Amino acid sequence: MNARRFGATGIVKRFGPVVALNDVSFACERGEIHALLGENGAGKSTLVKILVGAQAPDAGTLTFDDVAVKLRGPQDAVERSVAVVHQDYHVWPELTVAENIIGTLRRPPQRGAFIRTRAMRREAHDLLERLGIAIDVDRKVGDLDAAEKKFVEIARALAVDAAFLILDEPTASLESRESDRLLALLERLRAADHGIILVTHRLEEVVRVADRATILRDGRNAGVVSRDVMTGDVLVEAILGRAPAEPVEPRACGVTPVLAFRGVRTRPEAKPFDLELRGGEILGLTGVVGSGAVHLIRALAGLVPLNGTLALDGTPIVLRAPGDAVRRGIGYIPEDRKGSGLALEQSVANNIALASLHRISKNGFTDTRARTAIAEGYRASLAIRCASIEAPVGSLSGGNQQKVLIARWLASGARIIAIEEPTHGVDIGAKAEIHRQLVAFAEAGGSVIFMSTELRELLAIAHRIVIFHAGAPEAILPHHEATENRITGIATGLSKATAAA
Amino acid sequence: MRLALRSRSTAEWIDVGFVPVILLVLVVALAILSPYFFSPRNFTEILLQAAILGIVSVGTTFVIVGGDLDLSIGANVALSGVICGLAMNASHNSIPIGIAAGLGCGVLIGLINGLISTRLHVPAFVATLGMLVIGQGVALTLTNGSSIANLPDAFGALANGNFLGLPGLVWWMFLTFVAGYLLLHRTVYGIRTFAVGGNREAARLAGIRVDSVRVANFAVSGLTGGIGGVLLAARVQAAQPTGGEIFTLYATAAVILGGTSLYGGRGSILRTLLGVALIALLQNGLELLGVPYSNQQVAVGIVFIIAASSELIRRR
Repeated sequence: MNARRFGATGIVKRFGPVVALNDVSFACERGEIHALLGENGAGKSTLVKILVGAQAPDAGTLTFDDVAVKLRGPQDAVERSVAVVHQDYHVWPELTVAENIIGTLRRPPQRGAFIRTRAMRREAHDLLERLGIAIDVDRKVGDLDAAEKKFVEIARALAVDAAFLILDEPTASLESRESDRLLALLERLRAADHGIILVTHRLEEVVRVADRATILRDGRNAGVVSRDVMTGDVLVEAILGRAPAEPVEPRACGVTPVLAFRGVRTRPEAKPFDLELRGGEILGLTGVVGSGAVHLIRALAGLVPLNGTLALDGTPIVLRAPGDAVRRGIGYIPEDRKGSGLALEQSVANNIALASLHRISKNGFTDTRARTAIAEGYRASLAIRCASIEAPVGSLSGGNQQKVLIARWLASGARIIAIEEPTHGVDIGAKAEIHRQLVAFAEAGGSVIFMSTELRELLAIAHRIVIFHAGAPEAILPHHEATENRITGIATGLSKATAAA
Repeated sequence: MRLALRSRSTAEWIDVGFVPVILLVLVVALAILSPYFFSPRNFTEILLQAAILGIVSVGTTFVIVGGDLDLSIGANVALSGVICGLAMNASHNSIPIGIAAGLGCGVLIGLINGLISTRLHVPAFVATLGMLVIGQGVALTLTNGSSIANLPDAFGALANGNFLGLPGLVWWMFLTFVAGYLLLHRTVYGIRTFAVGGNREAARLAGIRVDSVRVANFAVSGLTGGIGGVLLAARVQAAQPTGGEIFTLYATAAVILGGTSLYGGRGSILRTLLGVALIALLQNGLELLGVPYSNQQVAVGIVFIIAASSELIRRR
């Protein structure tokens, strides 16, 4: 049962026509910290789900000491001493630390039906002490800070004697000092002969603690980098695995600021910063999970308070709710377009007209002919592929749904469009079309501010690229100075850039 | 975010102090408005009024903490009472058989609720609402709409007999609260109920058998419905097919009023005790002030909604 080596061989996983993992192999030894790296969509999370038994592979096997084993579910993985700490917090804020770590286990200390409270507290206390974590076991987990919550989750995973521990982006929501504490804990666990599988975007942490790194690219193995040759450049090269994209001719844009952010903090502890969005500009924001890049977009949508001041054409404004943003001419397109962008059962035409109903209504009644004309117009100009403009928008492909959302804001006369991940889950043809539309919108004088983790997208359309790290812009690169390697280096904390204008 | 530091302590203050302060205000107001309020007889009256509601609310607390709802509890009280009465009649006034049948009926309704919610994946709200109507219908059918009277005196003594100066019914309520407290706050099952209600997916990934815990919660709720039904029948020595419905709203109201989260994972039996006390005091006060029963209902409804909105304030 106590395997020295845990891994996977020849894993294939398909989702419909998409091959998420193609003949992927991986192995982690006890006593090592093994990083699992790759771009978004490279297949990391799918591989993790397979490793912990949450999904079954279509082909290939999991191996313990090179013996093939089939996991029937997450509990099977636990029985084989593989534990996982998920990226989002799986703790119970209303329960105490001791109850979270020990009380909710399969077999907590009990006498009859009753929990042996003292034994539970002692076990939790001893475990935390062994891990070198000082947290009072009687505190409510909801009162702990982010790092302490992670520690509780890790302790819980180790309470069942896990030999192998998988951590999915454990530092994503942690400040750098909290991350340091967590990395120190991982090093202690390594010394105690645990095998640690670390999934992360933060390459500087990998360089600091990892013994090896397995790299995935487009669902395939892209090499294993060992400690002796591990540098940031080597990792970036292996992750991107291609010659940097051709620089595109920079397009001209206005110089007058339309939006001016002043003294903004993405979180209370982050350092404040200023940023401007100019007329006719496409401004790209990027950063790894938890970098704060998405904050500006959400604040512009009126979803979260900005924590700073904002001026539109030199006039200070406050956006308290999405309606405020729409009235100021700011259109927002969320990453989750199905969940929070579109009324899926409603027609293409109604979805397009949603933000401009006041323009096509008289006395509360909608002018159906005007609505149809608007929808048909955008269907033609954006090349939205649909059976008819009365077809439910849910029947369209992802790319065409995104075009419907862009059409909505074009129709409403928005001057600024704020977008999260404009082309997530969109095929290549639609991607180019969406990019063309955003460029056309900017050339017509509109401004676009978007957040993306796709480097090629940033390089393809952004006039300037703002790279966030630890809650604030680390660098602002003009289009002609940006390269994939440079962006990745700054975003992952490998290189400290001096902010250029 | 702006108020993060200040609002936190305010929210906690509201969370802990909301119900006790209202209780206190209510007690002071009633003491001033009615000279009869501070009399031993009135206190016994309040306790009696609270008893069945208190017993039923203990079970409802388990279901709500576990992230579900039980709207069938009103029909459960009525039907369990009817089954208890019918079994007693059929067994030549055997009290144990009657009680066992009544409690069994309550647990059975709870189990069915639980199985429908977990196996058929019907939301508890819908499953138990359906069960509410079904239970009422069955109770009316079994009795042809009239009550089953003439239950034995010894059975009545269970609720009305005096022990240490208080009616038996009141003691059964205290006992249920103590048992409920131990079960929810001192057992492994109790912790799992909090875990399931707090984050169902995390509980599942932690290897907790979520469905079993939820079914158990419904069964506990069903059992307290059965106890309520049996004791209600004992109190008037008759089983009535109607009149239990009111517990559906009041039991959930008492739990939420006490400050247990309607979304699960957070709450306690002590909070429910406070919620029950609040409703009982409110009813008693309105009666003392001569407010007709129909208007008392309006008042409880308003307080219920205020309580639910105060939960939103707490969650800010």
